[in-house]
Amino acid sequence: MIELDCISRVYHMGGETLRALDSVSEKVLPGEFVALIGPSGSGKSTLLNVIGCLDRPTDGVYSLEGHAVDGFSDDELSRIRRDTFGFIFQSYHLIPRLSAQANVEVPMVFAGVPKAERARRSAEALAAVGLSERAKHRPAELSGGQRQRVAIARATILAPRILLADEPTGNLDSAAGAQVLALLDKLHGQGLTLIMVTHDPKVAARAERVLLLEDGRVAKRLTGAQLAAAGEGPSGR
Amino acid sequence: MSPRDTFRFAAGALLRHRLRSLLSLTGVTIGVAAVVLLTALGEGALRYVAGQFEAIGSNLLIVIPGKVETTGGLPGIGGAPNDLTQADATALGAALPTVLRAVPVAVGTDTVSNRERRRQVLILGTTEGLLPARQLTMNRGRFLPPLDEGRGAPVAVLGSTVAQELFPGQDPVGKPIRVGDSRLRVIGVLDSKGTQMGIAVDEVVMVPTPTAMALFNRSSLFRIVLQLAGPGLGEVTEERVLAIMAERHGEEDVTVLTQDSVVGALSGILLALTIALAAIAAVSLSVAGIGIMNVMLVSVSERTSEVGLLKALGAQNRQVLAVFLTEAVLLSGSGGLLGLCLGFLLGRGFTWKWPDFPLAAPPWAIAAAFTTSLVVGAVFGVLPARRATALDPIAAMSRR
Repeated sequence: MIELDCISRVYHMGGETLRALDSVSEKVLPGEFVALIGPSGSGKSTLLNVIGCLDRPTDGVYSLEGHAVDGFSDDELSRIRRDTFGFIFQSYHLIPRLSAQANVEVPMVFAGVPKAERARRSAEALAAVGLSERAKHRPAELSGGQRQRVAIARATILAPRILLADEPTGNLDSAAGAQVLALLDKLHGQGLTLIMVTHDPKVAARAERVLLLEDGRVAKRLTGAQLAAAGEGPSGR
Repeated sequence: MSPRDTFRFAAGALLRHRLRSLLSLTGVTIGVAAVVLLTALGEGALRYVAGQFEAIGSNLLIVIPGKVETTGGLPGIGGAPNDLTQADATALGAALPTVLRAVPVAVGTDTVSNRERRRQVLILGTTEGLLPARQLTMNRGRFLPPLDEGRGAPVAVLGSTVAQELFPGQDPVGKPIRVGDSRLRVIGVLDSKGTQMGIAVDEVVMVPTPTAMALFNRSSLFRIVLQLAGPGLGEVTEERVLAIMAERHGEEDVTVLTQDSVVGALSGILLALTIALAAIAAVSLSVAGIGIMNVMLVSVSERTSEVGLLKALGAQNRQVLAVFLTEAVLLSGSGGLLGLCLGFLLGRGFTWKWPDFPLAAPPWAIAAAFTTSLVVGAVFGVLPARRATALDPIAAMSRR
C-alpha cells in the first residue's frame, strides 16, 4: 500500500521557489488503477516520481508497504525500485546501443539473474508484448509503439507489484497507443497496481480512480466512470 | 551482478560507441606515445653524452709533468719541472701491478705532406699501448711498435681524415710522407672515431714517441697515460705513482689526473640533462593526463541520463560505478598499451633513420606513462559517473 502524508516537493531555481507538490495526502491500495491528470506543471509527473522513489519529497511522510521511505539510503531505494516498481516513460528511455532483448534484460543483469535465465525470461516477456520477431533489433529500428512495448516488457521483467507509467501513450498514434493501453489493462488485470500519468481524459477514464492535480494539489477525486460521464473532461490540454 | 556481466556491459558500451571510444583511445594513445618517445629522446641524449665519456677510455690515469703547487700555474705550463721521460713510463708500467699499460704521449704540431698535398696536423708520439687504452681500432695496416727507447722507427699511423686528404682514393699503407724535414713511411690508418676528449682523433698523425721527441726537439713527454687493470684502483695507484716519481726525480713534480676528476667536472652537465629529462617526462605526462581527463570527463558526463536510468531500473551505485570503472580501465588500459606500441614503433623509425643516437625509453618512464594513463583514465572515468550516481534518478535522467 502507498501512503502519502502531506507530501511536498519544492524546487529552487535561481532564487525562485517552485512548489511542484503541495501537501498531497493520498492512499493507493494494492491492485488499484489510478490515473493522475492535470494541466502541465500541475505536479502529476513529480508525484509519480516521488511514489517511484526516483525523487525525494522535500516534506511529508511517504510510507511504502508500511515502511517510511525517507530514512532509506540510496542503495536501499535502488533495491525498492528493483523489487517493487516497474517504470514506463513517455520517451521510452531504452538504451540505444542494446537490442530489444538486451534492454529487457538490463534490470536482471543488475539483479544478478544468471545469463541463461535472463535469455529465457526476456524471450518470454517479449513474446507477451508481441515482439518476439524484433528481439534482436535496436530501439532505432523499432516504431514508437514497439519501443514502448519493449519498455513494458522491461518494466515487468522482475515481476514488480506496482507499475508506474508516465504518459505511456504521449508519443504514440492512437493505434499504437491502444495496443500499449491494452497491455497495461492486461497487467492490471493480473493484479498489478497501476499508476498512470496522462493528459488524455479518454485514457484516464479507464482507471478506477482519477486524481486531478492543480498547482501541486489534488483538486478533485473522481472515479473513471465519473470522468467518462462528465464527457468534457478536466481542464487538461 | 557478476564480474562477467559487468565486463560484458562495459565492453558493450565501448563497442557500441565506436567513434567516441576511438577518440578517447587516440587521446590516451598519443599521450602515452609522446611520453615514451620524449623520454627516450632525453635518455638518449643522456646516454650519448655518457657514451662520449666512456669513449675516452676506461680506467685511465694521466700523469703530467709539473705540480700545481710548485709552479703556481696550470700543471704543465710554466715553471721548470723535471722532464717526464720514456724511462719514467717504463718504470711505472713495470713497478705497478695495478697498471695494465703505461703509454707515453708526446705532442707537437707540424706540416705533413704527400707530394703537393700538405696539411698542418697534430702529431702524437706514442706507442702500441695507446690503441687499447683509448679504445681505438685500425682501419688498415698496423699500429705503432711497442715502447722503443732507442731512435724510433720512421713510421706513422694516420687518422682517417688525414689519410683521405693526403691520399684521396688511395691506400696510404706503405707510402712515404714528409713530416717537417723527416721522411716517414705510413704503416696504418685508424678507424674514424670523431672527437675524444677534445682531440679530433681522425685528424692526427701518430708516430713512435722517440720519433716525435726528435721531430720537436723535446726532452719531456706531454703526459703518460696509465690504463688500470680494473675499476676502483685509481686512488691506490695515484699514491704509488706519486711515490715512484718522487723517488725517481728526487721531488714530487708530477700531477696525476683521474678520469673521475674529468667526469666529475662534467657531471654538472649530466645532472642538468637528467633534470631536463625528468621535466620533459613530467610535462608530457601531465599533458597526456589532461588529455585523458578531458576525454573521459566528456564521454562519461554525457551519459548522466543513462546512469539515472540504470538506477531507476534498480542498479545500485557501486554496480553502476563498477561498470564505468571497467569501461574506463578497458579504454585507458588499451589506449595505454597502444601508446606504448606506437611509442616503440616511432622509436624504431627514429633509430632506423639516426642509428648513432642511443634512443632508449627509460623503464620508469614507460611504467609511469602506462600507470598514469590507467589511473587518470579510471579516476576521470569514474568521477563524473560518481557525480551522476549522487543525483536522484529522475534528476540524472533529465540531463542530456
